[in-house]
Amino acid sequence: MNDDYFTKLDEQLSALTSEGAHLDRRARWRPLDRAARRTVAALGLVVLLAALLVIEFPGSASGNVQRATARMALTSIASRPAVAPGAARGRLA
Amino acid sequence: MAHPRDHARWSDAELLAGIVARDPQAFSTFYRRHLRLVLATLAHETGNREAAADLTAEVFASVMVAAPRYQVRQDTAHAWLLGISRNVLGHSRRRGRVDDRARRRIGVQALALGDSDLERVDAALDEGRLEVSELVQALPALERSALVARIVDERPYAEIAAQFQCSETAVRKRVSRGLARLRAQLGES
Repeated sequence: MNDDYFTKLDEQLSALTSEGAHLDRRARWRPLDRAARRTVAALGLVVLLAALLVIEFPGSASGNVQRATARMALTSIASRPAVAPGAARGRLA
Repeated sequence: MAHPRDHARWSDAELLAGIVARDPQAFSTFYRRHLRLVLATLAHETGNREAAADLTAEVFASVMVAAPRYQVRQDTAHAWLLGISRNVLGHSRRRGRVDDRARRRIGVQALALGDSDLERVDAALDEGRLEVSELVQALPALERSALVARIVDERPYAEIAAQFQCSETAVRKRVSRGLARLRAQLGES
């Protein structure tokens, strides 16, 4: 066997060729990578839209506005002074 | 594709497809077919035998990595291979040291250069010179004179035009045709 530089280079590169060392090992994962990237992008978009909605309508997202309105209505009804039926009638008269 | 045992008859495109298919014989055949051209080109460009040998290793490692992207445009892969050589050389010059990215990527181990290896670089360079010299001699007389005056003697077009009593455009055309003919002949050889 010849052991000069160029022969050894030929042997080494030929051996690496048969091992497939030159082929892109990441190529087989590329479709999966692509799907993962798309999923993350879609999730990010959903989260962003949700965040925009919360910022735009801070109460409605959690139902706070409806609850607060209902509470205020109940409180105002409870604190209103009782009106005697006669007084009303007298005022009208 | 040609018979698997008959790699020497395979075209460059077939050999490169073989390299992608992990055929070690395809690589070896491609390497032996083009080693002299790459080595002579790099030795001529660098003027440094050690660097030329080192760069040659990087070029063939790059060939392995780039083989899946090879597109057949000509009968031989000379132009593609010389393009890779230029890229490797250019990158090495910019970095100030011999590029080794492709070798690191595929895991090539460093090899020691001996005196006989350096003699081989010289031989490749001489053979390359001889080949080009023969091809230049075979050019039509007008193209040869213009090519030698412009490329070898590095004389200005105006001076050559005055000597040959023709226009600068005519001289440029002769040089261009001569170079195209040389490239074509080098591609075929």
